[in-house]
Amino acid sequence: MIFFCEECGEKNDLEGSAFSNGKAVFQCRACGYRNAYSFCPRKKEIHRDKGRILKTICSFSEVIGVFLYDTENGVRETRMPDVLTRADIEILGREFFRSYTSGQSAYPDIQGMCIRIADKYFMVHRMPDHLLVVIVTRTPTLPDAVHKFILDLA
Amino acid sequence: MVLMDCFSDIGRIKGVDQYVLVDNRGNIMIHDMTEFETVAEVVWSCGRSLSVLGKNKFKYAAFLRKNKNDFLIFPVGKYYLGVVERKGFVTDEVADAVMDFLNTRFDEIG
Repeated sequence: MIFFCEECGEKNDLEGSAFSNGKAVFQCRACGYRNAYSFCPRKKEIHRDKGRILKTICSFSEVIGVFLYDTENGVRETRMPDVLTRADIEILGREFFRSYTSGQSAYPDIQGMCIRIADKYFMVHRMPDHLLVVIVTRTPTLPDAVHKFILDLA
Repeated sequence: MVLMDCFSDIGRIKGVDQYVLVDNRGNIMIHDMTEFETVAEVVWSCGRSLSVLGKNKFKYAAFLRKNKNDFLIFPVGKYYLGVVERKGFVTDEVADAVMDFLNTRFDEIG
């Protein structure tokens, strides 16, 4: 699971042993700071850290853009290329959500979706709390680190 | 008839387990699939929606399943093709194989 250092903001990948009495206790791999903070429920974590989560995903070279879509309230956070307007991204989110739920009506074990448009791949994954994360990449599979990061969030 | 013969060969593509073809009104044209009626509706609804979204640049949609029998939808002219992938195959390789097949066959029959 990814935790961010309170001192420098570096992401730290922690194993289960790093949790003690509801706290994440670890030494930051970048600055050495000793972190010990309460572990918030995951849905609050996503909402609180959405900017940082998207920034982390965008830091991978294969990723072109990413946005979070709230299935009840529309786009929550976006780091998509400027060529797309907010309205374009709203439409993408809405149609991807429709397709995802439609697919689940036939196959309830669907865990994600990959849509290829031209030479870009739109990876759609469901998150807790009515959220979809949509990641646009140059490759048909997510980089391992991004995939692991998404699984941790979900 | 020629068109339907062409589609019936889709089942021979490596990695393809089952398939269903619907037209742009949702009518089932041909299938080799269990529970084809439910799946055909999804193929039609998602295919139409994503085709509008991606215009003629929409290539395919892959639904990634826990049981690894991923499900794919392709736009094919005025039709939409749904394919259930055989377990153990790589989804984007199956997608490429289906697209190659469709491009070749449709070039042949015009």
